[in-house]
Parts: sequence; structure tokens; C-alpha cells
Amino acid sequence: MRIRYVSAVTLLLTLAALGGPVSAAPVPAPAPAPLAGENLMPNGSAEEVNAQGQPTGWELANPAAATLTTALGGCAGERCLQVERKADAPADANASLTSPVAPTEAGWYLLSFWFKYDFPPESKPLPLVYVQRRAGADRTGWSGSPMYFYFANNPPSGEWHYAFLVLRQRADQTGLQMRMDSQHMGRQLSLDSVQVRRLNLPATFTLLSTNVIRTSYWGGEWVPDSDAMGGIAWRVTEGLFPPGSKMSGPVRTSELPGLYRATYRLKRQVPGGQPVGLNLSGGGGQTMETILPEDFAENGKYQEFTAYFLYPFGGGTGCNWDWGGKGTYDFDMLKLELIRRVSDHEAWNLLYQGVDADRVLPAPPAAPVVAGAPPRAWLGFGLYTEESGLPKALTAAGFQTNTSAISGDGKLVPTFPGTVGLRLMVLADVPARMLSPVEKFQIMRWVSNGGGLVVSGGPYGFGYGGTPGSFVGDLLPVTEDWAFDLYRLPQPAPVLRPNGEKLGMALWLHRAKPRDKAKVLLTAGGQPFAVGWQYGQGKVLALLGPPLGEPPSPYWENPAWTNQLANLLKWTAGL
Amino acid sequence: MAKFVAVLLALLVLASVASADLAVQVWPDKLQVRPGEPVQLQVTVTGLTAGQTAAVQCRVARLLDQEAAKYDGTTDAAGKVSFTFKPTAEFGYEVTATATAGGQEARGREVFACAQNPWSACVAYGGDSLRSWNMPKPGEQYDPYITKRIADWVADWRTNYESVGEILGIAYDPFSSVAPPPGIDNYFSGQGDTAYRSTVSGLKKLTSDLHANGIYSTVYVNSSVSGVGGTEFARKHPEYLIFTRDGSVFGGLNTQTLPLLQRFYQQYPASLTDKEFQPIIDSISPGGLHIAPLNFEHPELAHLGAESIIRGREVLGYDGVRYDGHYSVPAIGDPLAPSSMYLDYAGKPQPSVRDGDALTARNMKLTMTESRAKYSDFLFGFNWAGFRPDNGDWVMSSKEAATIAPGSYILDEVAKGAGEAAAPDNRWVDFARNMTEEAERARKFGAFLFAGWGGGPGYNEVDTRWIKAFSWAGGFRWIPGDNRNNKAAWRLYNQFAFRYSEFLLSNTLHRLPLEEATKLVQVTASRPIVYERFVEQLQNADGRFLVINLINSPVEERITQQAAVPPVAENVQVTLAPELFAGGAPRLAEARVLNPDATEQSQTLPLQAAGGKFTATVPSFSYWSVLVIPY
Repeated sequence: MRIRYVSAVTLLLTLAALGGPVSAAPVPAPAPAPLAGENLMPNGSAEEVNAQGQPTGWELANPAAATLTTALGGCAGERCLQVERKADAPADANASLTSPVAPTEAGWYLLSFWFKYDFPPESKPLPLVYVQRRAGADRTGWSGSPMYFYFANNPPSGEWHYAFLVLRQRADQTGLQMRMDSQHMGRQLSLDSVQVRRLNLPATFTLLSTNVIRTSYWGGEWVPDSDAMGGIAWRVTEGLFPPGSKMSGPVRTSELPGLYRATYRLKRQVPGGQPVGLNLSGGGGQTMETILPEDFAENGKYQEFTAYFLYPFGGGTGCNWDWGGKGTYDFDMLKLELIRRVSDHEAWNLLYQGVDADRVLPAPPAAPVVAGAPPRAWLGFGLYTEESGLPKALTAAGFQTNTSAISGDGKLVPTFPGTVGLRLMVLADVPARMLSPVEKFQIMRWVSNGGGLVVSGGPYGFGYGGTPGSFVGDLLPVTEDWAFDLYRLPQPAPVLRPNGEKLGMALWLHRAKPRDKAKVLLTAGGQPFAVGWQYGQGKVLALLGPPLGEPPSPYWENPAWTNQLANLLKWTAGL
Repeated sequence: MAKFVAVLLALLVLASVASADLAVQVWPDKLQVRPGEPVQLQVTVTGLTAGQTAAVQCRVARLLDQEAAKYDGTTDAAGKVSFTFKPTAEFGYEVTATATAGGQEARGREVFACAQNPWSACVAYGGDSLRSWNMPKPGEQYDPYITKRIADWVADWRTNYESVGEILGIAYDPFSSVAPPPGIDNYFSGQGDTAYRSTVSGLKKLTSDLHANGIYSTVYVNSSVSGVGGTEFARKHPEYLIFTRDGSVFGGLNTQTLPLLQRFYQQYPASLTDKEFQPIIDSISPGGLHIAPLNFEHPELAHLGAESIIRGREVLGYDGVRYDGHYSVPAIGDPLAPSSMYLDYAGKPQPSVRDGDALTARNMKLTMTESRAKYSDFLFGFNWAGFRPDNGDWVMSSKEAATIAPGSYILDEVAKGAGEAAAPDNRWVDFARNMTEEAERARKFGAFLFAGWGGGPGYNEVDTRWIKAFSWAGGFRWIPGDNRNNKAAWRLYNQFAFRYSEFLLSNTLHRLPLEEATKLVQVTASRPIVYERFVEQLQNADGRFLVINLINSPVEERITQQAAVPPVAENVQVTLAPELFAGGAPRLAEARVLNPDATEQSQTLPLQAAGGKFTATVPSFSYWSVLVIPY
């Protein structure tokens, strides 16, 4: 059985038909206007093949360097494009592809594709795609080239990965090209679901947030500049700093997933020279923009440029400039404005469209309950998990629990093992953003199939963990503010059972509103403290009162809390 | 065989004669004191025969060669005699002991200093040697392991005339671990490879022994919460955390080792020898438990920080703290942009740096005021990244500097790359310009500039001399990185600068602007002399002095750390225009030349007057001489 994921709604309706009734409406309404228009790229999945066995419409720029075929085993449809660089090709000949179509109408476009390769794990980063800004220009490196290109930084070989670029179509720009680097002789690159869509940029919007970035990186210097926002500018000077010098934002800006408008100010001090490249990255994609010397009206005067940046799924953003070592430029600032939020569902529907999820991502069932065998649970161990009482309650409830902790670089160790064999998984103040989009997607399907999910709060939980708008957020029996949802009650308040029994005091809560059909299981200060609901065949429990602050007689030190929590865990696991 | 015995006997005779040679060692029991505090001048005479005593004359000098005290005494049967001296004037002193016995005379010399503010006379800052103080391994005894290390470090600082130093690593976080919880004797804190593992008793012994030697100590602190205590602090006060724009806590988090570390404390002291905890003892980087900088918009944090460092001083005995990033608002980050990067727990952006300056200044003023209300001599140090907003380094604003710098140590960590080819200060001329200008700015705020942590083992004896000469002549102190002490030049130059610190590092020195200096002072010599930025005037209770640092120009343009020995500068004529002394040169008759490499480090030079100008001629020097002219 194969399912094409045209939309999440279709997916869930299909799952509901296959696996039983979905008791709550789990999918939030998509944004009113789609992020992007129709796919303009014909045969991007290589399902159409010509008499020579090549994908219709696609051409090799240099047939002497490579072969172009299609192969079975695509992630979208049955086939995929396959480019193999000939082992005997000249060293400087690249295996370049020319796509069937390139957009000609000026505007901002989303180029997305899936790729897989068989290169050795330690290969150099792979320049996978580039778009010429100026016809006939040779690539001498991003910094020196009027092109955009994307590096695949060695994700695991043999697996499908998605990537996307946000690019601007200009009048002087040629079409999309893809190529393999010449170092990968005799190796294969597979491409699938290559799509080009025009971004729907809202004509009017409510500005949701603004972030101004100035921080320098290396290879330049601060110079006094009364025209600059802070009285100084970051300057790269020909002859003084080496090519490849950066004008960079911070490594991590940690923006909310969304569509951004980036406005930046550059000043050309010395005419001529090579272009400056802007790169905004995050969420598996990049915005690339090349500013040519001729884009400046005059020297010595700041000019403002605009770019758009799509940042789905979360996980860290960054921006930097690259400079080719020619000409002298001043950088004042870059302003990132969030003009539209993008949920996991929305991003998934856009970037995973056409992907055969059942084959690429088999739907995991919840483990059956076996009499006499302890049910298995997985605990994502967050900052105050010990204090929360969850480990004790898991033991008291009879679970056999595997635990992953958070490492110094913000990853789960051991990595999330997946849901196979689990009855219960607990995200105990573990940020949802620590899970990949695919992991979150799988958890959503696993819960639909009968798994139990507990999400508890803290400085890294719920909104702080990137839960709202994510697949995990969609599973919750509550809706939350976008990110900053933790608040302190006016005064310590007892945690109350429905029968009025007190379990000790709480001081901090996540601000959340129960969804329809959700059940408020505990309250504190008149606010929901523990909320549960059924999602498909599974259950989800939200624990909204983290063990924070210093209330008198805190609930987490109350012996009755462990028993209460153990019962809630068993309820969530369907035991 | 007989021949061999004869030779042996001859050697023994020679040895006995040699052992009878009179020798004197004079040892101030303290390297540095405050005015009015006593210094025991301990004189030990060796080479006396049994029952013989020596007459000892002890002379204490300061300034150029001004006698501050003179003592006469006789050694006891052990060849020892001691004098008590209470300095009142600040800066360097030199004590010379002359012993006479059996027709022989011997002389010994040592230096010490006096300063109300220990930073002012401090010529080099110790600290790097206190990295990685390891706990004894299981089965290994506390003694003699730690005791020996304490003794080694005290000797290390003392030998190198480092009168103030930093104990790295024990207090990454002033909100939780400056002192461990009551009843806990061991430490696990620190930063990366400086992770500090020791005991309260060991630290107390260290600071106590440092004090006994006239050395002041500070501890490294940061403005984040970290470790077990910091994690608990953040749990009790999530409102103090800072968040990035997507809601995530600004900072790192590691729960991998947290439970193990919590158990370590719970099970102390059995955990010390428990193999389960050995991975922590061996490898944990408590910086990895660093969880977050804090939102210092809350003034309560400054109160809590002050309470913590006061308690730490009471428990551990240190003299102060050095903030590696203090309580700035907004959190450390882009120094100039609006701080839309950082938000409070409710999503409200922190004030911009410019708006936050007042809050930062408030925080540190509060911290310093509260600490000094309890201990008026509490020492403070801060970083400021040298006013060169480079590579995202944090920069102290003028408002902050005006609030917190007076009387403080200021560390510039930008200069540390001077010895690296790509560094902006790699050329000597740039190093001199940039650092001198920065030192002047520090002086303007009443602070004491130290440049660190740069170079170290890479600097040969030649470059060691130059880097130190350029630094002190420029009015700042150079703190090297690792292994700073293994060079004779290091000790020799530190001793020299300590002795003459008044003419090198006093904040009352007035540096002449470059144009003025080159107009009023002209230097000719057998080879180029660097002096232009190093002409200063000193006026205090002792009189008025013109101070000219003369540096024999390095052979290479760049700081290579492996410089070649320069040709000796000879016949160095320093001509002074009369207007330099306008209104005050009736006694102008002679100059003093101070040379760290000379046997007699202070020598008198005549001043030749001709055509209304005065000329002093320094016969020769290899690296650096300081010409001091009273007027």
C-alpha cells in the first residue's frame, strides 16, 4: 500500500480509514494562503523517460563527463534521476545537468529536491546545485562567482535527503543547473522530486518579530561609519583581507520557523571587484543571493537589498556573507523580519510533496500489551526530570524504561531510538526541536496507531522547545502561545485533583488552552495543570506544571504525586 | 690509586675553602604589602665558621636610590638576623644586606613593593599555572600530592614577582560554586581544560600561603550559572534565564553527566574513591554543565552575586574576583546592535546595549559596593576586549568603565594574538601604538591594564625581553599563556619592573602625546631607538620626573617570538628641549639610567647643557633602558 502525501489532511484521513477512527481533529487549519504556487518543473521525479532511457526534458551540459539515466527506487514515484560521473572524464569536466525549465518571471522561487548519493562518507562537501546569475560565468568558488550553489555537507550516503533553496529570478539569470563535483569519479548522484515554485509573498503582513544582526565574523575589521546604524561598519578591503573573508551573523540566531524578509545594507567603497554572496541557512535549506558590483548605484553610499528566507522545522539558523577578495565593501546590518509562521505540517506538505512516505518512512505501530511482560517506555531526560518525579513514576507504573539524555551540543544521547516496540514515550522538558521532522512525523503516526505520548514542561519544554506549530504540538491536547508560554502564578497554588484533593503546591505553569474534547485531569490556580486526550488510537498527556520555583510544600516532594503520576502514565499508555 | 686519593683530598680542601666564602641572602617575607604593613627582612649569612657571627647592615631604598631605612645587626648562631620594616610610600623597594665577618664582606639584594591597591605595583599576573589542579587519584594520598603542588605554585608566583594572581577554574559561576555547599570539601568546577578539581582545605592552604608570601589572589568567575548548584539555582529562578528568539534557553545544556554529578555530591566523600565517578574526575568539563548566562536586568542577581563572592572569600580566603564577562545587560553578544537577540522568559527583548549600559553599570556598582562594604580591600578584575570590537568580543562601554574600572584590573584578551603572524598587532609598531593607547584609556578610568593571555613558550629570551619592555613602557602588563616562567629574562625583567614600578606603571604618569614627545625629545644612536610613545612625566610627593623609555629597535618588523639578538645600541644621545621643563628645572643636573640587563641596574648620567638644551648620553644597552630625570 502506497500513499502519496498530497497533504497532511489526506494523510490523516487515509490513516483514519486504515487504522480506525480519529477521535479528535488533530490537524490545525493550514495557513490561508499557500506558501508557494504550483510546481513549475516538469518531470522533476523522472517518471517520464525518453527512448534513450533518459528523463524527458533533462540534459547533460557535458555528455562527455557523465551519463544521465533514470533508475527505480525514487523516493517520489517509482523512478529518479541518476547522474554518474564517468570514471574517465577529464578532471576539470563537471557532470552538469540542465533542467527542463527555468522560471523566467521575476520573483522569488523555492527550488526543492531530494537527493541521494553513494559517495564515501568522508568525501568533500558536494556542490550539488547552482544557478548562474550571469550567463557564461565560470565558477571559481561561491565568493568569486555570480552564482548560487548549494553544498551537501555529507549527510549519510545511500539515504534520501531533501534540500531547498530560495532564489531570486532576475532578468540576467540562466536556468537551474545541477552538477556533481569532479572529484567524485564513477559515483552516482540520484535526484528526485525536483520542484520549482514561486513563493507567495504576502503583499501586506503583520510583522511578527524583528531581529537585527551585526556581529562580525572574521577577515574584516570594524571601521567608524557615521552612516551605519551603530556608528561602525564591518569592512572587507581588497588586498588587506584574504578572499573568502566573512561578514557574518552569529552562528545561531534561533529564529522561529517561518518565512522571513531579510533586509541588509551594503556599501561599495571601491568600484569593480567581485560579487558578495549572502547565505541564510536553517531548516535544511538556504537562501542564496549574489550581489554584483554593478548592483550598486554609486560608491560610498549605503544601498539596501532585500531577500526572502524560508526557515521550516526549527533547529538553528545562521547567516553570513562571503566576499571574493576584490573590491571593498562595508556591511552595516541585516534585519530579519518574520512575516509569516510556517508549521511543520505546512513545510512537510511543501517539501515532502510526492514522497512515498510509506516506503521511505514505514508507519510504526504501537507495541501490543503483553500480559506478564513489562511495557516499554522511552524517556527523554531533560533538565529537571529527576525533580519532576517522572523516573520514579515510570518505575512505579511498571515500565521498562530506556532513557536518552541531552548532550552538551544539544543532541539526545543515545539518539532517539524510534517508536518501535514502545507503549509510551516521554518528552520530559526535552525540546521538540531536538527531534527531526521525520522523527516528529513518525511519532505523530505512532500515536495515531495507539502509542502514548507524555510531554512535560520546564525551561526547554512546550513553547520554549519549539512545540507549537510542530507535529508534536499538533498532537497535544492543548494549544499554546507560540514560544514564550511559561509564567509564574501570582502566588503558589495547590495542584488539585477533580475531587478537590491537594497534591502539593505549584508556582510555575505553561500557558495553554485545552482543545475541544481534551480532558483537564489536574489544575493549579484555576489553570490546567495536566491535560489528556485521545489522538487516533493513542493518548497524549500534557503536564503543564514544571517543578520550578520555591513554593512551600512543592507538589514534586509530595509522596502522593508519584502515585498520581504513575496512574496518569498508565492511562496514557492505554494500560 | 695514591694519585686518585691525592686529587680527592685536594678537591675536599678546595670545597672546604669554598664553603667558607661569605655569602648573604636577604629575603623580604612578603613580596608586596599595603602601606604600614610590616615586612620582615630576613638575612641569612652563610660561610661562617662555627660560632662565628657577622655584622649585617641592611639598607632599604626606594624611588631612584632614596634611602628609606637602614638597620645594623649581628647574626645569631645560625647566621640569621631579621629586621622589621614598615613601608609607607608606594611602589618598589630594594633591600640590600651587607655582611662582614672575618675580614670578608658579602652583599645580597632583593626587591619588594608596597601598594594600597595591589594592582598598581603588580607587574605580572600569575594564574596560568593554576590550571587543572587534579584531585588525588583513588588510592593516592592527599599528601604530599596537593601540599607539594601548593608549595610549587606559591614558589612559582614568588620567584616571578607576580604579586597578584588568579586561581582559575574554581568558580565558574558566582551563583552556585564560588564556595561549595556546606559540608562539601571538594570542587568540580571550571571551564573546559581548566576544570578545577580540588578541595576547600587545599584552597585555603593555597591562599593562606600566598598571603604569607605577600601575594594576593583572585578567583575566576563568570556571569553564567553552571554545574549542579547553578542548575538548581536556575530551577528555583527560571525568571532569571535568557531566551533566544525561538524560545530556547540561551546557553548550553548537558543532562548527560548531571545525574552522575548530583549523586557524586550526595555520596561525598565516598564518591571520591568510587570507580563509578572516576569518569567525572578524569574527564568532566564542568563547563559542559554550564547552562546559561542570566538576565541581569534583575538587580537581585547582583545582590546574590555579591553574597556569593563574599562567602567565597570567607570560606576560601581569596582577595577578590576576576569577572570573565560580568553582569552585562543585555547578555553578552553583539555589542552594538539592538539586543533583539535576547529575550526574557516572557519573550520581552532585553534592552539594547546602549540602553543596557546603565543597568550593567548599576549591577557592577552594586556588586562592588556590597563586597567592599564587607571587605574594603576586595579586589576586582574585568575583561574589556580592548575597545577593539573584534570578532564579536565583548566591549566595555564608557559608562561601564567609568563605574567599574576605577581601581580594577582590566584584562584585554585581544592582544594575546600579538605573537601570531596574522594578528593585527603582530608588528611591533602596531603593538606599541594600539596597546599604549589602550593603556592610556585604562588609566583615564583609573584602571590597570593587563594584556593576556598571549604567547608563552614560543617566545625566546630575546622576544621575552622586548615584549615585556614594550608592555611596561606602554603602561600595561603582559600576561603570557602557558609556561611563562622558564626563562631567566622573565624573572629578571619582572624583578626590575617591580623595583621601578613607580616609573613604569603608576597611574599618575602622564604620557606626552606623540607629536609633543617627538618635538621635545630627540634621540640619536648607533641604531634606531623606539621611544616616541614612551615619554612620560611623573609628579607626586617625591617630586617631578621625566621618564623616557628607550627600546633598542627589534631587528624584525614583526613579532616572531624567535627574534634574533640585536646589535647593541651605543652612544644613545637623548636631547631634551628646554620647554620640556618650563617653569621648573632649577636643579636639573643629572639623570638616572635604569637598565634591567646591567649589573648595576641604576646608574647616574651627567646632563650636558648646551644651547638651552640638555643631553644625556647612555653609553650602551642591548634591549631597554629607562632614563629618569628629576626636575
